[in-house]
Order: sequence, then C-alpha cells, then structure tokens
Amino acid sequence: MSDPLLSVDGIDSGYGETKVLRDLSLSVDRGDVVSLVGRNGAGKTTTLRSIMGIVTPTAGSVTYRGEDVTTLPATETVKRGISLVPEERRIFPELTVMENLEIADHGGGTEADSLSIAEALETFENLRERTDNAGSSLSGGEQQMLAIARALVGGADLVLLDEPTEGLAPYIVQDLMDVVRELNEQGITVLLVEQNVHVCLELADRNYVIDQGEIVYEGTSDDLADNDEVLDRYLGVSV
Amino acid sequence: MAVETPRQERDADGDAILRTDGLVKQFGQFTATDRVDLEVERGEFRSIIGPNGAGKTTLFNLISGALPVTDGSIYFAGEEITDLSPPERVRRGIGRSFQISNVFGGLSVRENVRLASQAVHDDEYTFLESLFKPTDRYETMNADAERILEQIGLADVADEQAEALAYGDRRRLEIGVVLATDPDLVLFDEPTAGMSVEETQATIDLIEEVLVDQTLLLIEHDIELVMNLSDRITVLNRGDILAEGTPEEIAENQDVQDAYLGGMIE
Amino acid sequence: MLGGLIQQLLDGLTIGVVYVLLAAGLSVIFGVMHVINFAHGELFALGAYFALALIGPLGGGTGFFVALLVAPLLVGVIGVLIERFTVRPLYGRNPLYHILLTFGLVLVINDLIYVGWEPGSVSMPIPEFLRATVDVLGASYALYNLFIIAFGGAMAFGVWALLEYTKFGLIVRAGSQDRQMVRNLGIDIDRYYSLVFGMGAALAAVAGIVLGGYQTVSPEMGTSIIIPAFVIVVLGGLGSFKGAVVAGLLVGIIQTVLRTHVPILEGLVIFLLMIGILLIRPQGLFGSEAHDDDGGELLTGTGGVLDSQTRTRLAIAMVGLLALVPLGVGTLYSPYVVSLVIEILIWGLFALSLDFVMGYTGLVSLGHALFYGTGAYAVAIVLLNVSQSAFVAIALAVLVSAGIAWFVGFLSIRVSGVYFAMITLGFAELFYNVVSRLEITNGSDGLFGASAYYGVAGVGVDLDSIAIFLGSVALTGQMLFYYVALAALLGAFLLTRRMLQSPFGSVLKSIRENEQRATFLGYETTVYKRRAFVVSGALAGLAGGLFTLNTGYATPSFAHWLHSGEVIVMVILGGMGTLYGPILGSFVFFGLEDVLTDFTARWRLVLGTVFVLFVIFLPQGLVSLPSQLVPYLSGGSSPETEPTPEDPGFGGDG
Repeated sequence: MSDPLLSVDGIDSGYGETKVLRDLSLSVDRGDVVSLVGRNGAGKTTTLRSIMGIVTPTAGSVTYRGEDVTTLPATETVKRGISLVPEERRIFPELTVMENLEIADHGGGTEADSLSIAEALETFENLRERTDNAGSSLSGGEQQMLAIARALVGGADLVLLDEPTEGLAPYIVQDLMDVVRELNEQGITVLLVEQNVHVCLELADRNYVIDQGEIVYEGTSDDLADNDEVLDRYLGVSV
Repeated sequence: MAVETPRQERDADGDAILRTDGLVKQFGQFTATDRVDLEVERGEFRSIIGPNGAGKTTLFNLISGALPVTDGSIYFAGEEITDLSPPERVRRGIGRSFQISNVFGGLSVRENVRLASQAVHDDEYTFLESLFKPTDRYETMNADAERILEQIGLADVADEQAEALAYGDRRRLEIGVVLATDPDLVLFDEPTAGMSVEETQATIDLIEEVLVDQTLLLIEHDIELVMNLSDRITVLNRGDILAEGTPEEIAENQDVQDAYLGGMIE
Repeated sequence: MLGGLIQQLLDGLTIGVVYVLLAAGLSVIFGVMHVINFAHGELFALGAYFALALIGPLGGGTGFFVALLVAPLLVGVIGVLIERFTVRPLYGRNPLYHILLTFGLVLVINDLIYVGWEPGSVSMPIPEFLRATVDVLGASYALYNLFIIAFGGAMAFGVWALLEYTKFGLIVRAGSQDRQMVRNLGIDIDRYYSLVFGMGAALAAVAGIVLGGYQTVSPEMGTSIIIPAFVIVVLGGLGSFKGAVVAGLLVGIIQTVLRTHVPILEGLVIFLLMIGILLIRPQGLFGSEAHDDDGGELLTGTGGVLDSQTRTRLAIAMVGLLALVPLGVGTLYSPYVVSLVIEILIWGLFALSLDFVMGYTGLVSLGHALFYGTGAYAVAIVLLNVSQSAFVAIALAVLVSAGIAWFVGFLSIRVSGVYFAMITLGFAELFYNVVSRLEITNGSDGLFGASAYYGVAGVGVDLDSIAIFLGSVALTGQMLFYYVALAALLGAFLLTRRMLQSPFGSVLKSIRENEQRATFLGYETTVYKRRAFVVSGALAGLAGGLFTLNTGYATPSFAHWLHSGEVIVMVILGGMGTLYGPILGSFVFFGLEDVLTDFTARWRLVLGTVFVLFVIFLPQGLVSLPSQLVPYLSGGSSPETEPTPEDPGFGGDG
C-alpha cells in the first residue's frame, strides 16, 4: 500500500488565542473522495484552511506527496496541486466567467496536467454560454461549478470542497454530486467538507466526523449510515 | 441528555406575544423568507429548526429589526413594530443574544451589565444628568445591575475586564446583559454552537434559571436539545414554514422526516 | 462666443486629463490595498521637480521628453519603496492608519522638496515647437494644451488596457474584489501591491510634469491638488478606474467653465458635489458596493502603569507647574515662551476636542479645522462688527461651532469610516473656499485687528491696560490671557472627563467597543455619536475662538486640511482615547517645532518622520510608552505582534 496523498498528523490550529483544532489527524488516499462532516463550528473550515496554509497549525504536520507543507503559505500549496474551493464560492463578482478562469491559469499544477480553460468549459457545459457574463450574474449552482472549474484550471490534484451544497436547491445538489463523481473518475482526489451528511454518504469512500475540533469517528459510508449513535450524537440526524 | 424544562409545566396564557403576517424578505432574486406567518405565545419556549439556508437567521434579523422587511408585517405585544428601529424594538422588550465575543471586551463586567440596565432605566435621568451625573450615582440602575450580577454569579469579578473572563463566564455575562435589557421575548441564535456537551448543558441550565419569565425563541442545530427543551417547534424550509407543533408532533411528521431529519438514510 | 466655449472646453479637458492621471492611481491604490494616499499630491509635485532637474542640463527640447520618461520612473521607484517600508507594516489595521501615515509622508516629502529646490514658483521649460498655437474651429489655441490632452489621454488609455487585457491587470482587478481568494489561487498578491503603488506614483509624476509645463512648478502644487483629486476619486467611486476617468474630466470642465462664468462658485461646486454624492451614493458614480472598513479597530492609548491616586497628583502638579509659567517672563525667558505655551494650550484643547469623537466613538473627522475656523471667524466677526465683549464673542463662537457640528453630524454620521472622513474633509474645504471668497470674511486676506475687553455691556477690562503684580512680576496682556487659555483647557478636560463618567459617556465607550451591540441594548447610536460630535465641534470652536481672541486675526488657512491633519498628528502622537494624551501631543508637536527650528528650517521633515515612525511602531501614542516598555524592562517580549498582510480581518477578505 502506498503512502496517502495527503496526511494530516496531530495538528492544533486556530485563530489568535482561540484554539479550534485539537490533535486532529486524517489522511486522504490518491483517487478517493473523503468527507469531513460535522456541525457548524466543529472546525471543518479551519481544517481546510490549515491544510491550505491560510492558517498555520501550531502543532503537528501536514504532508502532501511526502513533502512537509505545514508552514507553506496558500500561494505555495496551490503550486503543489492542492486547491481550495471555499465556502460561499468566492467567485470574483466583477470579473467575467472567462476572467475568473484565466486568473487561475498560471501554468502550475503537477502530475495531473491542469485542465485547460477549453477543457474545463467542456466539462462544465452550463458555463460555456456564459463566458462573458459577470461572476455576480451567475446563480448559486453556476457559481459553485465555476469555483470548481477554477480550481481545476489552476492544476489541482486534490480539491478541497468547503460546503459545496450550501444554499443550493436539491436538484442542483444532484448535478453537483454528478460533477464531483465525474471529476473523481478523471483522477481528481476530493476532500469534501459538509454539514449535509447525506451528500457525504452518497459521494465519499471514507468519512471523518468532526466535533469540537477533534475527529470522533472514521468509517466508510456504509458503516456511518448504520451508526445511529454517531449520526445522532454528532450530526444531529435523528433516525 | 436529559434537560429539565420547568417551562413545560407552566401553561402559556394563550395570547400571542409575537406575530408575523405574510413576512417576506428578498435579497435580489433570492427569497430568504417566503410569506411566513409565525405566532409565538407569551411564556412559550419556541424553537426554530430547519436545514441550512432555510432562512432561520434571516427571520431573526427581521424580527429584531437588523434587516428591513420586503413585505408583510410584524406585531409584538399587540402592536405593529414592522418599521421600528432595532433599539426601539429592544426598548419594547425584544432582547437578542449574541455570540459571546460580542460582549464589550474593553469594559468591566459591571459596565457591561450596567449599560444594558441604563438603557432600560432611562427615566432615571434627565438629558442633562445623562451628560454630567456620574453613572455610579443612579440607584435603581445600579441596584438592578448588581442584582443581575449576583444572579449570573459574576458579582465577584464585576470589576474585571470582560475580555479577561473565562469562556463559561463570558457566556454567563452575555446572558446577563440580555437579561438586563429587561426583555419579554429573547431571541437566541445557536447559543451553544461550538460548545462541548457539558458547556451546552451549563448554558441551557443558566438560560432556564435566569430567563424564567421570558418568552424564548431559539434557533438551534442540535435536534435532541430542541426536542427536550421546546414547548413547540417551528420547522422552516426554503424560507417557509414546513411544519409546526409539539416535539412529539414534529418527530412524527412525515414532511419533516422527508425534508430534513433523515430522509436520505436507508 | 463658440470659440470661447471651445477654448473653455479644451482648457477644462487639459486640467481634466491631469486629474484623470492623478485620480486613476489614487483610485486603483484604494481599490487594491484600501489605502487612501494623501502623499499622492507630493508624488505629483516630486515628478515635476525631478523633471526640472533633468531638463536643466539637457535643455527644454529633448530634455523635456527624457524627463517625461525618466522622472515618472524615479517617482515610481519611490512609490515602491514607500509601499514596501511604510505602508506594508500597516495592512490589517484600520484603513484610517494609512490616512495618518500618508499624512506624515506629506510633511516629509514636502519638506524634502524644500531641501532640494528653491521655494517659490518656477516655470518648466517645454520644447519650442509645443509653444506654438494652432487654430481650433476659428480660435487660436496653445499646442501644448492639445499635447497634454493627447499624451495624457494616451496614458490613461494605456493604463486602462493594462488593467483590462494583461494578467497583471486581471490580478489587480481580482485583488480589489477578494484578496484572499487571489492568494488561494497561488498568486502572491502582496508582491503586486508595490507595483500598483509604484504605478500610481508614476502616473502622478506624469501628471505633475505635464501640468508643471502648463502652469508653474511650486512646492505647494501637491497640497493644493490632492483635495480635488480626492473629490474626483469619491465622485467616480473609490476603487473605480472608469469612475476616475469620467469624474476627472467632468471636474476639469466644471471648474474651468465656472471660473469663467461664475467665479464665486469655483471651488464650492465640486465640494458640494462630493458631499452630495457621499450622502446619496457613497460608492460614487461607478464604484461597486460601499467598502466597509472592517480592518480592525482604532488603537487607543493604554495607560495603567500608575495608580489613579498618583495620576491625580501628577495632574495637579502639572497644572500647578503650568500656572507658574508667566512668572518666569523677564527673568528666566522672554515673553515668547508665554505665547508659545498659549498656542500649545489652545491646540491642546483643539486636539482634545477631536479625541472626544475620534478616540471615544471611532469617528475620524478629517475636517476638524472646520470648527476651529468657525470659532475663529465667529470671534473676529463679532469683535469687529457686533460687540467687543470677549465673553459675547466666545459664547457665540461656541454656539455657532456647535450648530455647524450638529448640521454636519446630522448629514454625515450615518455614513461610516472612510466615507465619514471624506465627508468632513469636504465640509472643511467648502468652508475654506467660502471664507476665502466672502466679503464679510475679507476674502483670502482674512480678518485682522480684532480687539476685546473682558466683560459685558461695555463694562470690563482690557488685558493690555491692566497689570496684576505678583511680587516683582507684573502680569499683563498675554500673560493674563495665558490664564484664560489654561482655564479653558482645564475646564474642557474636566467637562469631557465628567461626561465620560456619565451615562452618555458609557454609551460612547460601548459604541467604540461594538456599535451593533450597543444598538441591541436599545441605544440609538447615531444620536449619541451626533451629540458627541456637537460637543467636539463646540470645543474646537472654543479653541479657534481663543486663538483669535488672543491674536486678533482669522484667516482661511485656519480651516485648511493641513490644519486638520496637524491636529490628528497631535492626537496620535499623544495617544488617542485618553483626553490627556492629545494635550501631551500638542506639547510635543510644538516643542519639537520650536527646538527644531533653531537648527533647521525643515522641522516638518523631522516631525513627519517621527510621526510616520509613531504610526508604524507606536500607534497608541506616547502615553502608552511606559506600559509598552514595561515588558521589555522586565525581560519579557513585546505584547504586540506585528500585523501582517495576511491578517484575516482586512477589508473584503471576510
């Protein structure tokens, strides 16, 4: 068995004096979809920000492809192939769809060659007719697609998806899940952060449940779906 | 987790303290609140639940006046408050609890509570007195503040800066400040977010202890907590009320099951 | 007639293009870095002076074009250095610190110009062939002006193309929308900040050179153009390039047409426009949604080393010491010392008035000289025309200043942060322009020769005609006025301190801490802020009134933005939010000036440098020096951590 693509080992992380993550560990294997699921304020976004280097962990390490990236800033981790699709998408509202993609296209990327903009528009066909529209004119679902496309154009091998389904209508959530599956089949590894456990159960090979900044459960989707106690206690899903 | 709920034994006296009538809030094309008719009875402990993006916090912002409504009206204690400013609503008795980082960190614990009680007791000073008579010389306002400090157990640390307080004490202060605004209705937006089981319990106990006379309106993710505490539960979905009823009724409601609670789990 | 109109239009376009070059840089710098760069005007002047230096040895022909190429590059490099070493340490703090910083840089660069070049206006040699005139629709017109329009237009077009069609431009535009996201895409946007600042500086230099050839080159050219440039940036929309272009041309044309047809309105209309736009549509004509300055709070002074009893004793001792000052005249020092300390006391009062709103409610008034000027003019007008009673004059000065503060506050307090700062600046400049033009204020010369007696209804004393003997010292004239000023400052200090201990003050402090929360305790915070602003305006008016009472004159320069800037310098130097800090700041300011002028005429250079260092390293002011030093002295490390550009709270990244 080869080393995981990403491994997070016992990190502490937070903002100023507030510690959000305590001794948190997780790993993501190449080609997998792994979910990190938990309630509001559990530390999901902080985990992604710590991997990305937006926040620097105060203890522990983050290893990507065998390289220690714990203290690298976001500008460097991106170049190594990790890309964050942040909460609320953060599309540049006044740039066009095309410009939103162009700015990410900096020729970086690693083993999975970065998607060209043309290829990205093939995959995300609903964006194709809207390349000249301003980012702000897109619907929530379209913005989410654009945010993912932007990450791929930037040459991501590992995409960190932060609450991609938030605020989307159910049928768009379905579209989105299809896209994530498709990308995964093309070899993109995904670390998915969600509050919506159903999305995780459908998409993920493995799931981590986070609570109070700690991993409290790890298991396959089948196992998690059967574990009433975890679902009830940490995710507030009563069965 | 068993939480005692003395409130359930009191019977609500039947008149609505808060009522919204066809409340609508739009952000551009997006309808966050879609013709909501909500009625909360005096003395009730009401919880509002719903999936992310259901419009819970928007509803709170409309009730507290933080956001203007697009359409519809809000009545509080029988009077229309739709167009009143947030401070005016506070003065009429709608208190709002914030995250604990929202206490005035640079002021002392006493000053935090006194500021709230000063707003309530504005009949204790004339305009000129408010400018020139030192704050510690107003009897009622200070007595009120001291009583609340005792009640929330922070009298011993009243002179410390609020930001120096421990996490749990800051939470107590936050609730004390809300209490000092002398509300009839208190809006709580996820008061236990990010707390451990023990901290959650302690917070709920405190709310139950000091806000006995108030009507409570709570947004909460923790379903179990909601089920244990609430007299009635309102389920929001996509800006509209999906269901309303006692915890038992909600637990058995098929719509709620489908939309929210466990619909996709086989 | 038509010829005249076309001529005015072309004149307007000439100035307008210069404005566009200036405002484009200012606006893009604000858009990307949220920095309001007061030093932009000085970079503009620096461009013109560098050009002069280059043209000198090369001559007006080729020299001019060489200068047009090289001088902006040099200024661009200076811009890069300024960003790297002074602006950069402040990212993550409230954007208002950048205003303060760049104001300090104004003092520094302006004095550097005096160091390098002769004061006074000089003309810029331009190539011979550009001196010709051409026929434009029957009117003869200077070729050089057409050159400015064409060259400046081409530059602006070039910048637009750069922003629109290059990767650099794409990153700059994206950065002005969401900086952290740009970083998340692997782009080190911090490196671009220096380039953007340098580009803005270079554009300003180009503007300075071409305008220098049209008008003249003088050390004041920067301070006089920066305010119109701000007006344009605000009109067009902070951060909008398109807005800078449209508003720049518009203001250029409006100014020129008004100068010809309704000269009394020139200088007024643009400020009225600016104030109107800020009130109705703060984001300007083309700006995107209003920027919030959520970059962190204003840092107030921290005392706390001495206990309150010691502090009270110290304060009484200081007042006692101050009371003794006039007694030393003649034996220890000349009467000049008394007039110096009077000025310090009056400015201490002025600084205290500003601190009351800035330090306690977070409202940064960039135009506080408005109230000082109002008080001064009110006293002068009353003394010269109505009554010679000092009491009547001062009472009216305070009332009128309070009234104007109420009016300005009524209109502006609902806009916050940077916009409030700009709106107060606009009102002060409006006042400056009005009193420079009215007959009752004697235009730009100001009012002179006002004298007063201390009493009412004709009964009272004239300070110059009486003397109080204390032993061998005869207190008269200024020495007696000294006690009037000291009493006023002491009274204002005790009054404001009392207010801060009262319910009103408690609410002000809660607003400073967290305004939204104060609202949800049931306070109409705008009402409280407006009241604080009225108190502040009244005290500033008192300060200005006392100055005129003492000196007998009032001039438009009292309301000049440099005056407003100086009083902010004092507040920051001493320590904001402490009441006594600003008084200390006034002592240090004038003390430094007095000491430095013995050695050099360029005291502003030193003062500006000191101020810049303060803003960067000790923003809490001198009063916090002891508490800042304690950890070092006891062997610990500094409690302050350096702010970094990564700070998550920096505007727009939230």
